[in-house]
Amino acid sequence: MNEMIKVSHLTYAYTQNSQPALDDVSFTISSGDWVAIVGHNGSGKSTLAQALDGLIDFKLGNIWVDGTKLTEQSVWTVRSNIGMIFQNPDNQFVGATVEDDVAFGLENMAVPHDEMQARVDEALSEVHMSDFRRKQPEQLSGGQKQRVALAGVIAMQPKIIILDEATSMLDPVGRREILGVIRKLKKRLGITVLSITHEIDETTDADKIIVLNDGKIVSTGAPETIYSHSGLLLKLGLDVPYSQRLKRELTQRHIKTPETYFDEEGMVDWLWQSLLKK
Amino acid sequence: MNKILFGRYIPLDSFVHRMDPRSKLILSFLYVIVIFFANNWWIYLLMAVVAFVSILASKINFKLFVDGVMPLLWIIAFTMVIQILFGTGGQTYWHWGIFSITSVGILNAAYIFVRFTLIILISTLLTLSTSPIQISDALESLLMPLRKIHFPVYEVALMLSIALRFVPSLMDETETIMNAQRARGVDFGTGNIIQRLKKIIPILIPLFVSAFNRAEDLATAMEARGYRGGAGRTKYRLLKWETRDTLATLVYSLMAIGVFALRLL
Repeated sequence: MNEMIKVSHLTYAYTQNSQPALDDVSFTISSGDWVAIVGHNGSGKSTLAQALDGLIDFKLGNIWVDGTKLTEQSVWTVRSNIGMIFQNPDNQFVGATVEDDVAFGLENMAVPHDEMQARVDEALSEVHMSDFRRKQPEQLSGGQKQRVALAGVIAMQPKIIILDEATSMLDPVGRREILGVIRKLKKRLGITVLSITHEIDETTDADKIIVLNDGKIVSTGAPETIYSHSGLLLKLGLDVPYSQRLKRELTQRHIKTPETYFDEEGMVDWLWQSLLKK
Repeated sequence: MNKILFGRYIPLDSFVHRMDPRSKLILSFLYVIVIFFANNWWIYLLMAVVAFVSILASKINFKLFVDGVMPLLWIIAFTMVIQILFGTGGQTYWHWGIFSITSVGILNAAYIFVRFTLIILISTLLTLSTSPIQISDALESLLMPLRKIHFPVYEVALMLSIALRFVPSLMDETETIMNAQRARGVDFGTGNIIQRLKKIIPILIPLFVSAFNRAEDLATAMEARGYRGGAGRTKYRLLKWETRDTLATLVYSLMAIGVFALRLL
C-alpha cells in the first residue's frame, strides 16, 4: 500500500501564541486507511487538519498528499484530492438549496453542466437526501445538513475525506448516519478517511489512532493498543471506550478480564462465556 | 418571525413560476416605468387588466396580494392626503392658507392610489413567484455587461445569494440571543425610546461576534471546497429563455404601446 498522506516535522504556531500548536509532527497514512486523530480541545488536531488542506500557511516541515508536495503552487491540486467536513453544520452550507450546495464544489472545479447534474444526483442518493434536493438549509436538521456537506464532498470524488469534528454537534442518530455512510464509501471506493475527534467512541472504526497532546504525537497504534493504555488517555483528558471502562470497573472488583481489547459486542460475548464457566 | 421578509416565495407550478426570472424582472421594471406615463383612466384600466391577468396566470391566492398591499396602505393614504391638500387646478372646493381641495387634486390622489396599488401588486407577484436565489441569478445574468468595466458581477451575485441564505440563520440567532437576555431579566417591551434602544446593544454585540465567526467558518469551508473567485466557474442553475418568456414580453410590449397610444386621447 502506498502512502496517501505523509507529514514530516510539521511545526506551526499561531502568531498570538508562543507555544506551537503543532510541534514537530511526523506520520504517514496509507491509502485506504481510516485514521483517527484524537486529542482534547487545543491539542492541535484541528490545526493539523487545516494544514493538510493548505488552509494555514506553515513554515516548518513538509506535507505530501498522494505524492504531491503541498506548496503554494500545488495547493489547489491537493485540495481537489481532499474533501473536508467541518464541525458546524450551518456554517459550511454555501448554497441556497441542498442541490445548490452539493454543486458548489463542482462549480468551482468548472465541471460541465450535464456532468454536474449527474454527480449531484448520485451524491445525494448516496447520503439518502434525494428527496430533500430543493429544501433550504433552515428546513433541515443538523444531521441532514452534515449529510448534505458529505454529499458535497462525495460529488467531488476526493481520495481523502477529512472529518474535522464533523459529528460533534450532532445527536447520536445523526452521528451514526454520517459514520455509516462514510464506512460504506470507504469499503466501496477505498477512500482514505482521517477523522479528527475528541469522542473516543468514534475511533472504533479506525485502523490506526494518533493521540495528540499539546501539538505533539504522544501515541500511535491500532485501537486495541491505544485503548489498553487507558491511563494515558485519561491523563490527557480523553475518555476511554465504554467496553474499556467496563473492564476497569470489573478489575477494581477483582474480576479477571481479558488483556486484549474487545468492543461492546465482544465484551458481551466474553461476559456470557465467563458466566457459563462458573 | 423569519417568514416575513424572504419566506414570501410561494412555490407553485404555473406559467409565471416557470418563466425565466430575467424576463420577470425586466417586465416588472417595464410595468413600473410605463405606469408613470399613465394620464387617464383608460390607461389604468388597461394596466389593471394586464396585472390581474398576470396574477391569475400565477395561480397564487389573491389574498396574499391583499396582504402585500395592506402594510403599505398608510404610505399610500399619506401620499393621497398630501396630494389632496396641496394639489391645485380645476375647481376649488375649499381653501385655507396654503391648503386647498381642488378637483384636480382629488383626481391626482385617485390616480396615485391606483398607481401605487398596481405597482405593489406587480412587485408582489415578482417576489411571490420567484425565489430570492432566482432573482439573484437573474441580476447576475443581467449585470453581466458590467464586467466590461471590471465590475465584479460574479462576486456580487455570490455575496447576494450568501446574504440571502444567512438571513433566516441570523434571525434565529437573534431570537436565541433575545431569549438568553430575557432569561437574564431584560425586558424588551418597556421603557422609553432611549431605554429600549439601549437594550438592543446586548443583542447586537453577540450577534456581530457570531456573524463574524460564521463568516470565517464559511470562508474556510468555501476555500476547502476549491472556491477561488468567480471567474472560470461553471453554473449549476442555468437560466433558459423559452417561448413563454417571449409571449409574456409580447403581451407587456403591446401594453406599453397601448399606453402610449391612449395617452394621445
